[in-house]
Amino acid sequence: MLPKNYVWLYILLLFISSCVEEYLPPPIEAPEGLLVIDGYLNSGQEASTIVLSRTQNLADTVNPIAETGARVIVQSEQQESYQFMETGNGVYTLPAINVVSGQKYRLQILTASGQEYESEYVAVKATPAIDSISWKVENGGLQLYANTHDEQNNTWYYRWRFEETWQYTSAFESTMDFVNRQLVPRSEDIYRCWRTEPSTNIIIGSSTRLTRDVIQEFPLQFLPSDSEKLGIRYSILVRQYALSKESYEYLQKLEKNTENLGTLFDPQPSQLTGNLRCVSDPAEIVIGYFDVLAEQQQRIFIGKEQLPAWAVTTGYEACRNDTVDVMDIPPLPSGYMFIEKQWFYKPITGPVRDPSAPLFVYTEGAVISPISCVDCRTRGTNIKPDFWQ
Amino acid sequence: MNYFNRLVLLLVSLFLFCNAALCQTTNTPLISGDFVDVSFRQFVDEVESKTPYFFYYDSAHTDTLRVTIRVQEKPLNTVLRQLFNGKELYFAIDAQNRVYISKGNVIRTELPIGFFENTEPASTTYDVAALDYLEDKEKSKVQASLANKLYEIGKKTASIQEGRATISGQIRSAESGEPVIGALLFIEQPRIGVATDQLGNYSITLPKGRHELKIKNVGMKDTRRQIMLYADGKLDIELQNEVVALNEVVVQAEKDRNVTSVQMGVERLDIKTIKQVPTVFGEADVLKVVLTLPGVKTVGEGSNGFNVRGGATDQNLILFNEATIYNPSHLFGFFSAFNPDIIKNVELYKSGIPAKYGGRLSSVLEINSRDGDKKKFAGSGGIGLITGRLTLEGPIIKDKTSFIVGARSTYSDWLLKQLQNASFNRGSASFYDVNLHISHEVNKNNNLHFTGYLSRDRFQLGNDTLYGYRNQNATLRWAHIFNNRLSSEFTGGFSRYQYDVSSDKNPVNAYDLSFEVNQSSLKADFSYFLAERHNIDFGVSTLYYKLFPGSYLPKGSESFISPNIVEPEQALESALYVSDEFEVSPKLSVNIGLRYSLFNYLGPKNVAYYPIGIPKEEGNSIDTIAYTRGDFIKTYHGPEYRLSARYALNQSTSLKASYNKMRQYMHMLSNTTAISPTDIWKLSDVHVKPQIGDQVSVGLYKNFFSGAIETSVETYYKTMANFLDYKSGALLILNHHIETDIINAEGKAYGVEVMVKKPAGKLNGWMSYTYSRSLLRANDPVNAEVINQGEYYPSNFDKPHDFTFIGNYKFNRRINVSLNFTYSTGRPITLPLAKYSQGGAQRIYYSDRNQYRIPDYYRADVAMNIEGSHKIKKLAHSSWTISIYNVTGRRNAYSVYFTSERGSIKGYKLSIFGMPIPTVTYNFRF
Repeated sequence: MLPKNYVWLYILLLFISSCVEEYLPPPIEAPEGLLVIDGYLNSGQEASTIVLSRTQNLADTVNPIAETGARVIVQSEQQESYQFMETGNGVYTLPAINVVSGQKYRLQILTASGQEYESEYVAVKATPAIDSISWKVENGGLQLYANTHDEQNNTWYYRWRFEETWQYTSAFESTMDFVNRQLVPRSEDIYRCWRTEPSTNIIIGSSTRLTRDVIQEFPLQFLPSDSEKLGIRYSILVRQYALSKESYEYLQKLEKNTENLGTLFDPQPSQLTGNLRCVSDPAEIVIGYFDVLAEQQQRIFIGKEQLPAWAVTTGYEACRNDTVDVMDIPPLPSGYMFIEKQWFYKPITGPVRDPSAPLFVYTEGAVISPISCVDCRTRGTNIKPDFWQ
Repeated sequence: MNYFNRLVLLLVSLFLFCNAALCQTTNTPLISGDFVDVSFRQFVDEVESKTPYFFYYDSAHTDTLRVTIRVQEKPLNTVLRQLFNGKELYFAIDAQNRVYISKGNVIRTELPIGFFENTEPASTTYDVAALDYLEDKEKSKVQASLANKLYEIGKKTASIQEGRATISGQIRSAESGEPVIGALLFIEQPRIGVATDQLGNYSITLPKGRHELKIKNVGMKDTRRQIMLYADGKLDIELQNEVVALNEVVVQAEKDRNVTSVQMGVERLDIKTIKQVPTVFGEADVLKVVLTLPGVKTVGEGSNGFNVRGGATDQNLILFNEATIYNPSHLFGFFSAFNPDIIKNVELYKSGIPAKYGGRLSSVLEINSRDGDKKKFAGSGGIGLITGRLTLEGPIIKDKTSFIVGARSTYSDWLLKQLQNASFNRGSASFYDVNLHISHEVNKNNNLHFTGYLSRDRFQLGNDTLYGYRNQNATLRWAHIFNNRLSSEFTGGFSRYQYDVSSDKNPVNAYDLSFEVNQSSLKADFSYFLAERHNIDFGVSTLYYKLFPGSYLPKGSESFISPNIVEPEQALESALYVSDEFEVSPKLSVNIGLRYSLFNYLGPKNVAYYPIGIPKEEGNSIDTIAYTRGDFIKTYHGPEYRLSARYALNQSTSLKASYNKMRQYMHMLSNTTAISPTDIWKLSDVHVKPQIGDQVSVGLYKNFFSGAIETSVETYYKTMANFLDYKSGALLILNHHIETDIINAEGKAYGVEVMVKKPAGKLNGWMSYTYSRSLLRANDPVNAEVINQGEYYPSNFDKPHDFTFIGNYKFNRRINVSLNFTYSTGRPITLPLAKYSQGGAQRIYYSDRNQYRIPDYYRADVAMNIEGSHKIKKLAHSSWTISIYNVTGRRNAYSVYFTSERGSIKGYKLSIFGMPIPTVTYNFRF
């Protein structure tokens, strides 16, 4: 890798008497809640989703304010219009429509307050299929790659998104449940779970350096060898989109602008202008980029047995269990769960009357541990995904 | 006897001798007579009775002398020579016909002309006896008498001819024999003056006749010569050093230069001034003092580089003894790469840049080292908290060849060890620099100078990555004087700057990343004194660049790194210049200069071509041409005008104006705000056009109290074309298509600089205020990216208000205290205005570029210098410097940045020196 993170610069941070203090920028006349348009028209067989929200002040900790009550329409150059239906919370969806390749489409939005926005016309671009999702064990971890190509040499710009799903187990498998103040065998498996996480980073690639439109081993995701995702079985669903050059550039800027925040010598950030504008007030800034995208996807699975014998950090390393006397139950410390019954030597407490009396008593006990160590559902779901093999 | 009395005595005697010289033209009395075995006394009585001669002698010396001689009409000296032949007696006869008889030593009745010069005197021959005689006497006292002596220059003629004649010669230090650079020679009526060049040579054309030639220089006693100019001739002059200045001789050198010279926008600092200014680590620092000058700014403390009048950091030509220095800093900019013990002076040209210089847009910073002492060995050094330094100098061949060698190094990782963080105190950072300067006087018309310079920085933090950079320079200068009017200097030089980053912690990933600039140069500069009102400089220069823009190679056999080498670049930059300093009238002087520069980008290189009129993208190149070695890929050329004029309103006030055009073919690529060691340099090529700068500047200069206080107001307006800016997030290193990440910008800068300076006295220093703006605009339709809607926006170093006070107060000869105060507007930054969520991730919406500012900057520093006793004869002289940097402990913002923490974005302010920093430095010289 390139020494991109100028580590030496951090010496500045701690050089002798340097100090870092929290800094409140002067009251900035932030444009009040700019409209953020997030989403695209799916030219394939799936529904499209557009999310409308407003920008927030930096200090805000609440969720972004959803823009509700807007009329969201895609319109072709032939004036065919399709209206999105609001499904609540600023989310607008449109069932799959027949997107004609060779046509251009644009987005039109009329907010509840009467402001009108529209995008430029965007051409429909077909997405070639993903050839394969490959992986290698390298650099002390698992590196996943995307491979694709376009016979027509027409795509050149690609974007990927992925969803990772992995199976895991909690620290302790609980066989007992505490129902109606009784210890009963547990009916539900709360030991084996799955967790799914979408990618949040912008992953874009281009084949423009090459003579043919081929993407070979484009690095998608790297998992260090101790990643919890590699504990049992791992799956990744990769979605691939062909981008227009403009859209690619927009995402590239967005990536460089906002993904390496906090290093001192980051390149200068720049203001991003997408392909959306406010019709009723040309000076108003709109954030987002409207695109017509076709999706191609592929899923692969990787089992632990396919990988070297890596020691995985599960995140359950700190879990401890304890045994309590069944007779004492309840109380059960709050936030704890039963794992199983177990006979154990219980220390005898209280004033000692007879020095020859035993110090322990062998009794039936129950092993307990914090819920977060026992119930895998605190981190994912115990419902096996449909696709899981 | 005190100095004054002795001086009077000498003056009186000189007066007498002078008369004697005039009287010698009358008839000499002749002696006739026949003496047979008479005593000397009888002989004397006889001669005294017949001639006007009167003898002075000690009878003890002559009582054994018997005189037997027959003479007929002979002059007395012939007689006496015959008489004293083979005896230890000497005689001397003065113009009043007084005869002095002495034993052992000759008594001289007059001083020969050119007595004290080592070289040929003005119009008489060398007199060894006289020199020997005075060897142990106090020459400096006699020096004063030279001021009143009349020198006859050129072949003596009965009457003064019409017209003018040229005197040339060299000015040297009487103590060390070093040439004195920049000494001013002038006559008052008419007002004609010149300054000595880099080798102490001068040439001045004056009307024939009698003049009083005055000589002034920093650190030297003012002196003067009475001359009678008959024709062209030579006059070498030795100046006394300033030791005498301790006896309240106020040195007033260059006192009126700011008003009288045509040059404007120039700042000169000698090392004495530099050493007075407190610095953060106690060591005198050239660049930090340059930063206090009006019109010079920096992005932040502890950052490399400086910005002159709204120019970028790569627009400064930094010359160390004529060699280009690419990275002038050590240790992330906390030290400048120049050893203060070697430096003689520093000159910064901000406007009206002489035609001699070119290749950078904003300024020329010339750093000159001292010549070594030609007469005796000496040394100096110092120890600070971080560095130690030692300088030695002395003659190799006495009076002909001298050397000065200086070395400086960090002696501990003290700094890093102070840090609590394990990854830092396991790290190391070190640097060193070595200077060698040899000067050799081949003969009076030929001088050779060699300078070698090496600086090296290395730092490694707790992790495995090792960073290092290095400057290497060598120059050889040959100064040759063709004749009184034409002198020349030939310089050959080589500069290299390289850096490397390597890591070998993980053998599979071990790499070596390096970058290198090589620059070889040849130049010839000539100075021709056409007439006393025309002073013509001309010359030619050529530079050959060879750049290795980046190589990324596996390190070790186990490394899997795939080599990535960016093709080398090469180019030739040549220039031709001529300038004439022309005195139109005593009030108006102009300097008209033209420089024509030519740049050839040379093969071998594969060059990609792009469609015209649309943004260059890696994907859209239409053709790639493979050029071979020696191909001229692209040529740029153009004139650079350098005009300046001075109009004297009165003796102490002048108005100056200048216009200059500069072209720059070598650019530094950096999209960080401060220079970082991994910034790279790039030559102009097919896609990267040369930067072109135009500056108009007008200034008013006035001296008060006969130069005790200098004031100036300068204003300027400057435009810069083809300024380089970059696309957001452009990766500059190892970029094979750098042109696709560059956007063309244009810049403009304007400002007013007000300066009040008290150069000398118990209280000295300066105060300057600058109002300036530096704006950029990127609205070229071919740019792939539009910044701030194509409007002008402030550059990173746009700090409109800037106030600096540098003061030094001498309590007595041993203690002086300096105070330094700086205020400036905070530099511009781009702030995030809002955040939003897109595609499941939080994103930031930024303001237009550089629309906000970090908090204002101010800082005060104090320093106290304590000198040891001032005895001249002492084993070693020592001094202590105690300083406190940032006395008020203000936490000045170096940077403000924003980072996302637990879903919300927080702002942080980083201060580098957020508290008072005391330091102690011990300096010595012997």
